[in-house]
Order: sequence, then structure tokens, then C-alpha cells
Amino acid sequence: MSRSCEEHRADLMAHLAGDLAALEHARLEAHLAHCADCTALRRVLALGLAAARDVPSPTDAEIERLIQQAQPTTAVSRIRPPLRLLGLVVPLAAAAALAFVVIGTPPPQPPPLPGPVAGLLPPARFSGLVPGGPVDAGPVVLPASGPEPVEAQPSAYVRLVHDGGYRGAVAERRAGETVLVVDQGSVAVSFMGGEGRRLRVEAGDVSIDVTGTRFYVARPDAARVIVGVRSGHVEVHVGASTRTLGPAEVLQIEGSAISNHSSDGDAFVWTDRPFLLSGERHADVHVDPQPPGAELSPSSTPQRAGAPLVSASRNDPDGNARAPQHEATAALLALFADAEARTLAGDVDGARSLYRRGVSDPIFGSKRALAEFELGRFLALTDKDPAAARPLLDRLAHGSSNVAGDAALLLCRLDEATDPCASDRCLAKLAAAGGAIGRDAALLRTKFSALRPGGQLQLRCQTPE
Amino acid sequence: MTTLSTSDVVRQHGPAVLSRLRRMFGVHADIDDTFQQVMLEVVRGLPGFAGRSEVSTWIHRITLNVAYQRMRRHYRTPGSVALDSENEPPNNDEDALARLERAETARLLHTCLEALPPKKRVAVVLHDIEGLTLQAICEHIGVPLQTVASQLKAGRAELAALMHRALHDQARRTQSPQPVQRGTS
Repeated sequence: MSRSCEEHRADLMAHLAGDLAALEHARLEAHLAHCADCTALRRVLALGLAAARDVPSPTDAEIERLIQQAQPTTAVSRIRPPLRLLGLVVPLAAAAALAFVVIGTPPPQPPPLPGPVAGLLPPARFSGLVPGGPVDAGPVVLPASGPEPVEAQPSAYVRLVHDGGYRGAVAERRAGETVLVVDQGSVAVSFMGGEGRRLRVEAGDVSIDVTGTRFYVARPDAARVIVGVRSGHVEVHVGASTRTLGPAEVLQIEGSAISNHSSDGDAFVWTDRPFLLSGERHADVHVDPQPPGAELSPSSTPQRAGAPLVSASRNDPDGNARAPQHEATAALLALFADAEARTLAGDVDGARSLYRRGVSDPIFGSKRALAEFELGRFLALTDKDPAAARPLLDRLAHGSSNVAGDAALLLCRLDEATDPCASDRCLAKLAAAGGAIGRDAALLRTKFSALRPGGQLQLRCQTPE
Repeated sequence: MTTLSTSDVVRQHGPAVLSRLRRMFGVHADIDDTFQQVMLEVVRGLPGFAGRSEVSTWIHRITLNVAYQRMRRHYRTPGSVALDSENEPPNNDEDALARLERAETARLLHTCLEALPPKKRVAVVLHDIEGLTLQAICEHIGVPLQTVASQLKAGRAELAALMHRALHDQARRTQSPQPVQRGTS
């Protein structure tokens, strides 16, 4: 098979979708005119795509059958609910029920949380949390788990994976401070800090202060507490003594004795899922922070027992352990999801603050360009402040990062409202350059042109000198 | 607050959800579980649904999310891709032959799609079958536009290559049928 055929085959679907530039289209047509093999493939692809798009409508009988299957009791027992849902919804529902049983009265309706988050958190979803109250006033009791690790998200910024033996509680002691109690068992925690948020873990006499990190706490027995950090830092307080732990460090506390501890045998399935803000957002936003080939979610194979929890190879040139790049990406994407949720909820200032944090926080250093692009996009499209967005996007568009093309596209769109001809020229220039961005530019050009009053723009725009 | 029962939701929105899933995954029984998962998320999410968008839009997003998760999980290692040979023999009705060809080709397409790496598959399915724009896809899965465009381009090329290989394998089998093995259980 000649290379030429392979190259042309790669363009067949774009050709069928009408995405090929005129020159490429002409070349492909010329090839198809004398290549029966590629012509046959084009026909099959076209037929397959058409058949896939044009599926038969479900019959009434099918819908009735599915209704029977979708009754709540049947559905819950037949289908293993997504762990993400188990983490977000079931623990809270279970918590509300448990709190009712333990306290004997329905949990009090919590007051709205102060600060910009208040508008985003439906009170019903946090019925177990009592802002301002003591820890044991209304704890969310995490569900008793089965043999496999269970994921839970008891608050907007805390995500847990706990083992079958975990017993404990989570509560919001006061605004911004979440308390996680570990009575027994093991729990891996991802906590997204910032904006005054703090997490305090209490495991017997040991307390751990966290401002944003991923770590785990294990109580293999009543006397011992083991704390290990995957990324970020935590402060471990034992009586008057304080130790700061960084990535890959593991500490064992037994009574007043504090010693380093091997992580061998502490097999956890770490959760790399994003932090989400409300019940609706979990359906709206999906962020995929996992690196290619790494399946760390609870639905995948648990980490091999005995395998080191933290890769030893993630060191900087000075030999210090640091969070790998994908973790910075995951945290940044979580930040974007958070910001997007705020934007949708009308908290534009809060969203802007988060996007700015993405640019300024050194933890996202390796993803600075992406953070700048998202800030630029926000300024341009949400704030509608092209003057603020332009310098940022201009610098990105002339840089060498992988968002340069997207920044160039966005720059073209800045002019659309005020100078559509300039916008069109800008897009035409990008489209002529070809490549993926060129194709997007061509699509945008068509779309803008069609949307404008009077239809085709090029009739009114003069070619620049 | 409006209270909707499970059956209400399924009756009102089920046909659209099922059609959408069939477009993305093909018409087969496995879709039922995915459909149930969508409906489960919908029913569970209804009490917290803030009404900032139409229910149908919200359900559409849930459907995409569940479909996306399914595509990420159900990834078949690329290997030989073949049409099933379990179809009933066609009769001589021209329409029936055309329908059969359509159905077989759609199944071949979905089989090849399953062999694509998940991110490429997502891009191809959502754009070329479901008809989402690149911008909508990148907003939904949270990656830059350029990345989605690259995945789409690579996914289209790989899909065409897989389809080509499958057609050739099929042609080879048709020309030289495998001998029937006897005596094996």
C-alpha cells in the first residue's frame, strides 16, 4: 500500500465532514478518481456514519421496558451506581439519615455558608454540616464501606477514598474549616485549599493541619497513626511537637514517639477527580486530570499492595520531591471547574479571582500558559473586557506554548463585536495557515459570517491595503 | 419544587436519551445499562437541580457525561476488527439488503470506534456522529480546543485505517474461507 493512500485515507473523514480546505479537497478528489480502494472506504465510512447518526427511534414498548427497569429500587440494585455519585450523593443522604437516628431530631437546616460559595451550595446537600457548631453537633458519618475502597466528597473541597475499616466523621467546624475525624482505618484525602480554607484532621491525640494537599491518614490500631503525603505539605501536631511533612514523607506516631515509616503496604487508590461545587455541576462538568495511561479512580484496579505510594522519580534538579506535572494540571483543571461553576452561578468576581489565582499561584507554574489563556478567555468572553484580555492573549499568541493557536483564535474574536471586518481578516489569515487552528478559524469565519445581519460579510469588507 | 417520578423522567426524556446513546454506541442491548445509569443520575440529581437550564439540556449534559465515562472505560485493545457473521442471510428484497448493509456497516463503525483510544474516540463520536462543535466538546470535557482538534484529526485517521483493515480482512475471509475445525468442543 502506497504512503499516498495512507495519507489520503487519513483525510477521508474530514472530507466527508466538509472540513477539508479547498486545496486538500481537490487533491483527495483527484486521488479518489483513480483509487478504487480509497473510494470504497469512503463509501463505507459515509454509509457507516450516516447509519450511526440515523438510528431508529425507540418504540413505546422499549420505553415501557426501560421504565420497569428504571424503578428506583430496581435500578439501585441492578446497577452499581457510579462511585462519583456514591461519593457525592449517597454519603450525604446516608449522613442525613444517620444524623436523624443518632440525634433523634431532624438535622437543623444550616444557615447559608458565608462568602462567595454561599450561593452555590444548596443547603440540602450539606444537611449534615453545621457551620459554626462543634464537630460532633452534626457530623457527616461516612458510609460503612465494603471490601473495596469507597470514594466520598463530603464537602466542596474535600475528596476522600477510605478503606473498608474506616470509621470517622467529617464536619465543618466554622466557615472555611473542615474537620475530618479518623477513629480507625485509613483514609486518603485530597484537599483543595485556598481562600482561607483549611482542613484539620484529628486522629486520636494527633492533629494535622492542611492548607491544600493530598495525603493519607491511617490508624492501623488504636495506638498508631500513620500520615503520608503525596503532594503539598501538612503540619502534624503531636502534643507540643509539630512536624511538617512534604511529598513522599511518611510519619508514624505511636504515643509520643514519632518515626519515619515506610509506605510499603499502605495501598491506596488515590483519587484524582476534580473538586466540584454542587450537585448540578457534577453532571455539567467533567475534567479529566488523569495522565494518559494512569487509571487512578476507584473503579479501576486498586494500586498494587506493597507498591510505593509516591513515585521516587519525581524529583527536581536539587533532589527535592515535587508534585508531577499532571498533578499541577489536575489542580488547575479543578480550579477552572470551580471558576466555571461560579460564573454560571453569577459569582463573576469569585470566578475572576480563581482564574487570577491560576496565573499567580506558583503551584501551577508548569501550566502557566494554560492558566493565562483561561484568564484571557474569561476576560474576553465573560467580562467582555477586550482591553484587559488583549495584552495577555497577544503575548500567548506570539509565544511558543501549546495554547498559542487558541490564543490567536481568541484574539480574532475580540474584534468581532466592534470591527467584524478586522475579525474576518484575522480569521482568514489563520485559516490560510492551515492546521487544526486554521480549520477552526475557517469554521468560525463561516459561523460569524452566517450569523451577521445581511449574511455574507465579504461583500462589505474591503481587502486591507 | 416540581416532583418528577422516575417513570415521568423516563417517559419524557428517555426516548431522546436512548436515541443519543444509540447514535454514540450503536443499537445493542449493552446500551440499556448506560441508559439506566443516565436515568439514575438524573433521578438522583433532580432534587438538587437548580433550574438554571432546561431539564432537557441538563439531561443532555448528563448523557454526554455518562457516555464519556463509558467511552473512557470501554476501550478494546486494537487488534483485528471483523464483522460478525451471525446475521440472518439476506433475502432478495433490495430494501432489506440495503438495510442489512447499513446495519452491518454501522456495527463495523462502532466496533472500530471501540478500538480507538478513549480520548480520540470521544472526539470522533461527539463531533462526527453526535454533531457537537469542537468548542462544545472542549467545554464539556475540559481540554483546550486545540487538543480536541488534534484528537479529532488523529481519531479520524485511525478510524479510517481500522475500517480499511477490517474491510480487507473481511474480503480475505470471503475469498478464502477458513476450514471448519471438527472434533473440538
